[in-house]
Amino acid sequence: MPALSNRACKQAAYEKPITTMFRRLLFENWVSLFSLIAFITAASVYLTIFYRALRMKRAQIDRFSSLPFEAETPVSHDES
Amino acid sequence: MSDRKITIEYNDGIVRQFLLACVIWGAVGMLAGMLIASQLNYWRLNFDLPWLTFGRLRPLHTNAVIFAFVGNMMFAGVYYSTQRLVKARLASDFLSKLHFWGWQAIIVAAAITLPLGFSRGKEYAELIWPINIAVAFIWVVFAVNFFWTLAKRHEPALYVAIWFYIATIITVAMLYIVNHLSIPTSILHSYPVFGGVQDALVQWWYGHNAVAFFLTTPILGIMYYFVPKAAERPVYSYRLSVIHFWSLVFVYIWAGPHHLLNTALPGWLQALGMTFSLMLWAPSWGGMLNGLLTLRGAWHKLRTDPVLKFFAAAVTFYGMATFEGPLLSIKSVNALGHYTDWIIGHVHAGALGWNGFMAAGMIYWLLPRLWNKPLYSTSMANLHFWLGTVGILLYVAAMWTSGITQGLMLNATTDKGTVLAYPNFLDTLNTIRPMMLFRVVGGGLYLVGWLLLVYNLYRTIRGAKAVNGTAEVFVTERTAEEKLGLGSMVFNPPVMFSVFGTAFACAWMFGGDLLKIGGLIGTALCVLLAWVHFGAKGSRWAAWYDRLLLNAMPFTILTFIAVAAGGLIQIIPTTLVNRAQNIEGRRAIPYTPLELAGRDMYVREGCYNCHSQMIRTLVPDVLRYGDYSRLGESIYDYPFQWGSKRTGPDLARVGGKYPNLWHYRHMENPRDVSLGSNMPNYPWLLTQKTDVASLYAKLGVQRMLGVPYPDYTVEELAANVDAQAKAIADDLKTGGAYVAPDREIIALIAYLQKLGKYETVSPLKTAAAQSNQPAQ
Repeated sequence: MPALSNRACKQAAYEKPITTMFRRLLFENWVSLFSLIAFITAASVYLTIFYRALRMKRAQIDRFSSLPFEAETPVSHDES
Repeated sequence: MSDRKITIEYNDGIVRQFLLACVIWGAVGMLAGMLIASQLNYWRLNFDLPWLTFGRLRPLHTNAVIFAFVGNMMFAGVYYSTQRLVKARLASDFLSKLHFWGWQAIIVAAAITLPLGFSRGKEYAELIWPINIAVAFIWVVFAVNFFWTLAKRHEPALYVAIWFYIATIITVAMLYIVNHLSIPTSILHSYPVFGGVQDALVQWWYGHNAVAFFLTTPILGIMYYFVPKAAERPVYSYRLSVIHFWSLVFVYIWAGPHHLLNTALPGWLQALGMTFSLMLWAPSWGGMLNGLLTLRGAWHKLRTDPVLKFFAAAVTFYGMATFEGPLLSIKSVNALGHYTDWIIGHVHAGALGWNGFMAAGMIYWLLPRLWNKPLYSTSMANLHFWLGTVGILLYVAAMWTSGITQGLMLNATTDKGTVLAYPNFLDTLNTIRPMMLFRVVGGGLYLVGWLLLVYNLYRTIRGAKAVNGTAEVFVTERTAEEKLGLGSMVFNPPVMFSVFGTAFACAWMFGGDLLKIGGLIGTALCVLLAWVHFGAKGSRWAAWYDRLLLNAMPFTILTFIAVAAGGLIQIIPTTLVNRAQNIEGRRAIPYTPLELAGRDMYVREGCYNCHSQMIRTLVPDVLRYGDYSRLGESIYDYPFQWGSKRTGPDLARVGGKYPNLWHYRHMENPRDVSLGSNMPNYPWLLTQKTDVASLYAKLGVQRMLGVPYPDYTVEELAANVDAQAKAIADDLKTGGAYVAPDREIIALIAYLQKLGKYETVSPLKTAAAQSNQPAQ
């Protein structure tokens, strides 16, 4: 699906001063930095956590992953 | 370590209550879904009754499935697993009961108000403001009960399922509160504080993350507890679960703008939403593989064990839905799929496959344990599984076919792209009707499967005695090394380097000349020092992280920072920027009082469920509906009504397209003017009177929100309404339609005829507006 080219936009619009396009570009230019910051931040978080997870000790891993299996004693009847 | 041993009896009564509520509300939500799906095929099923129309019942269906069905399932799973993972009874029986009954009261209130047309007009956020406050209050009750239980725990380590629950509680609270900020005009009505593009952005930041943090993260926590329990082996890779958690929580929150691709939303936000959606592939599939591989060595049990069958299929559907989501977030794919049934198919692969099957697996696993009695019929549970699976596949395949067919037809052009191949919207609708019928069949099979679960549950618990689990635990004092206070959480190398690094980086990117240089030097120094410090004292960094895993509150704060960052970086720039800078040469003309009354009816009837008001920057959209929508054209829309589905055509520029009489006939019986339409009749609009009395308060709130209305007196307002209404009624009379000016249809026509009207703003005017007006 093609996005509107500049020419098509121009044809389709009822009236559209050329400055509209530049305003959009000018407005968006500085905020486009946010996408870059967001990506760098997310990548940093991911790499940090990846490193920490790899460095976890075997005993620590076994301890955590066995937590759901701690034995329950026999059940008691609910009198409430 | 003390050797004092105590016996804990878990509060499983509350688990049973939430579980039963989940089963009942699940059936209700699915039944509502069946009805509205049938209404799309057979318009007579709307019964010409306001409270049974598609527009009012569709929010009932979505809210029932999300908040009543999955909500109750989540609470049951969270309460059962948390008590066992932290070896502590729920902190307060009173709070547990308040949570349960409060939540059920909210559901009942929603089930009454939504069919009556009390709606905020935003998807999955339709409930009116008094119910919003109740939801926030009960959520806080849940949070207090949960964190208090963590504080009383006898197990210092926090299992990964608990992490997911923590992320759910704090993120849902944040999302819900921000997206429901409103100013009331009466006890039953309010306007959101955000309008236009800001409202769209906040709504889909919420809407997308309702899926992420209400329908996904808590269920992932449940997966990490119940799948290992059912398979009787630990999670495949705990390391992978750690990466899964942090990357999912951090990345998910950014992806909301993918619901607004190719719209008037600024391009950088669309790029952000698409990029982060694609990044979601990694954590989602990491989690899916972790869940499936947990079944290693237990695959043979799937032949006989319905619980494992449900879990394996649920995790597979999770993988499928989370593959499809990023795919649909690619702008060119989205141009085809958005506004069509493809999205409905995608959502239901998640809701029926992931949520519904996880719920079923969990319920079948819990039943014998909570009532101390074997499941009544394993064969029936197996039958439920196969009926459900076939039902989902039929449903999803029908919606894929329908969505892609309609998308292709709507976008098809001839004569080198200058003429639409299917100019009549109804041609595309009537082509997909067979697929819409298959959807009903698929949904019906799924519902029958669920009813088998209801019967199986009834037969299992009939005559059984409810039981509570108990455990013997050692009371231990936590050592100073294990504890991590708030001070220690903040004042440590990893956090301090991150804070200073971010501050210097901001100064570098946004500061003036001198600040820019200082920021650059500071950032470089921070990175260098952090590297050196980590090399020399890496063990201190590791020790901080290890202590974090044993301390709930610092862990929660860190999680909150991770999720809040994504929201802030998207919303603040759009909210703070002077809107006059960003209207792209056009500004909406404020609605007249009568038009505003008509707009409120449009919201009340849920028209946004089938009609969008956003012409995308795509050739077929412009050819079909007119010039593409600009940001400034919805600047006064509280709430925005861009919509997310086109069962009917876009209405952004419908104003002036048809005469008043056409709209009158269309609302009375759409098939009189649009042969083959599946839209309901709205006969009550011709008889009910417009609520003019409430307009004074409504205009007052709109003025507070920045809409430039004059300060009308009550008499002036009534005269304004009367004059416009009389003009429309007189025009209708000339066409042979006799209706009093005070009827609702007049106000609705006034609103529809206003859509697409705007004033042109020159760059000079915009600059003047910037210098003279404060930022809104």
